Amino acid sequence: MHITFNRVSANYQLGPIKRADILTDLSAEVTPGSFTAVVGPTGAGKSSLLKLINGLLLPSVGEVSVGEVVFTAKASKQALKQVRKRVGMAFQFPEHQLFAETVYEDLAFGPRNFNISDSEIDTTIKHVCQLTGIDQSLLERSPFSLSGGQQRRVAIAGILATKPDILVLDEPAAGLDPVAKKQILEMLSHLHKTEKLTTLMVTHDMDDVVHYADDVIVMAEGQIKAHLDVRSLFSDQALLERYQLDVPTALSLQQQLEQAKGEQLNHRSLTLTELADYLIEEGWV
Amino acid sequence: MNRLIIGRYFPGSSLIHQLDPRFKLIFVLYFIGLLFFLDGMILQGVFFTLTLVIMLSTGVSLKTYVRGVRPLIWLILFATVLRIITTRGGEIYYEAGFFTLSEFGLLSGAYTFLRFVEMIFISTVLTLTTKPIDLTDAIYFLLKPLRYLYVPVEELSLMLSIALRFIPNLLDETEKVMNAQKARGMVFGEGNLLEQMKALTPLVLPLFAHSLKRAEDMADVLEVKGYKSGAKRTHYRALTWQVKDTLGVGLLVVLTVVVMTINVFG
Repeated sequence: MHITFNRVSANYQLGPIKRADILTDLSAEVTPGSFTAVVGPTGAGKSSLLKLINGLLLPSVGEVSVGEVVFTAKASKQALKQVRKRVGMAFQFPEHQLFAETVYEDLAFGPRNFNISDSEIDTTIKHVCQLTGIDQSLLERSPFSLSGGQQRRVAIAGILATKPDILVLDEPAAGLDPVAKKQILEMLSHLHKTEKLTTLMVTHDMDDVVHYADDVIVMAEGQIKAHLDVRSLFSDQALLERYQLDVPTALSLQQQLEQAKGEQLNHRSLTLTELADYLIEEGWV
Repeated sequence: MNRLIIGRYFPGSSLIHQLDPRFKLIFVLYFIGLLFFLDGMILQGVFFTLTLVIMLSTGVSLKTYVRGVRPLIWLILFATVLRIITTRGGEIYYEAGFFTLSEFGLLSGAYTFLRFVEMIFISTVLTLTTKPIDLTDAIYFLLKPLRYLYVPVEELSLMLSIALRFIPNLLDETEKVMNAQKARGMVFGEGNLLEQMKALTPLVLPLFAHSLKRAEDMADVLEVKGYKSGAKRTHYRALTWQVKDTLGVGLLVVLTVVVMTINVFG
């Protein structure tokens, strides 16, 4: 499903205190079926951008459209419900949303809110358990008795259980150990491919950007500073420096080698395999 | 949640802000006590004016105070109406069985209303102009004598300051969990009372689970850092009693004398 931002500004107005805009004059387009990474320093408005997509934050100016639903400063309950069914959203530390007595009940929470029949919920839950690698024996356990990594899986499964077309992820692997982190990201990437989910992911890890994303939105100071594909981003040294973005491990290694040798490779490598290939190709090793 | 004014601190540098929190706490409690001894229109007028003067001198807009009353308005109106219809005396305008509308009834209804509003206003002044942490120190100070009755005052005040410290965190977390459940299709504030209460489970349970976990961590940290209950300790923040505070006590004495004189001779 298509997502477009048309000159959107937004703020969190709390009662009488008028805050400065968190997001100003955003315009962007996310094509269906793409995997977009959202990067930028803390406080850039990345999480707020994600919230715009399912109407948890409404634009004060401009409009956001998700599929055929359009949000402006006012949105009907109907439109909100419709969009939230189609957008699955995982916040930072999504395991904090677990509450039910059993894993099964927690997974059924989302679909029940959208009035899906019990028999259909049952098949969906079996399906998402398979997708996310949750063992059937866990379904009757309390979610609070699971390990951190398992809780994260259950939380993400609970989001997938509403069968979204769009998946919005805010640092889905934050705070996990390296193994669990890789498993979660691989699973999400697999889902993106097999279920054709349009995916947006906030991340600070540029290696994740290289491995999973097609294109990148660079945010700073509440604005979208650039929207480009992964390779163009890492070719643009000026852009990377301006917004203090890290580079992938392979590129960082390449830059150190180049500095030590006083020469430059003809290509910029994004993965270690690429780096090894270029090094051999150009006779450095 | 964000509309709740009581319990919020508005930074400022007015005279009221500068007063000693111990004095402010005593003043507010005493003032509220005095409100119950007011007799007659003149005293009511004096106290209402005094409340207004104090409110205005904090530099916080009147609108803010009025918003603080709003959540309690139904309770206040209920008490007022009850007072009006159950009091008899003076000229009776209307009577139907249990229900009467009389001169005295209307008057005492008005007093009840005023008393409630003044109570809220004056306690809002306290919380708006005093940092929660200073307020805890003041409570600690006032409870100190209870130590001789083996009340664990130190622990109570530590508990209180920890609780106050974590209110903003709890609010943040509430918002996060609320958003997460909304994203899963939850709609808050729909259906009848029972349904609405049931709908709170997905919000309250995660908050409980998380708070308990944090309490455990916090207890561990206190222990690791060598906190011992019952140990003698000094204070990092010292409260200073100034001339202004003594003058304030003078005001309380004058008010008491005036109220008592009017009650006895008026």
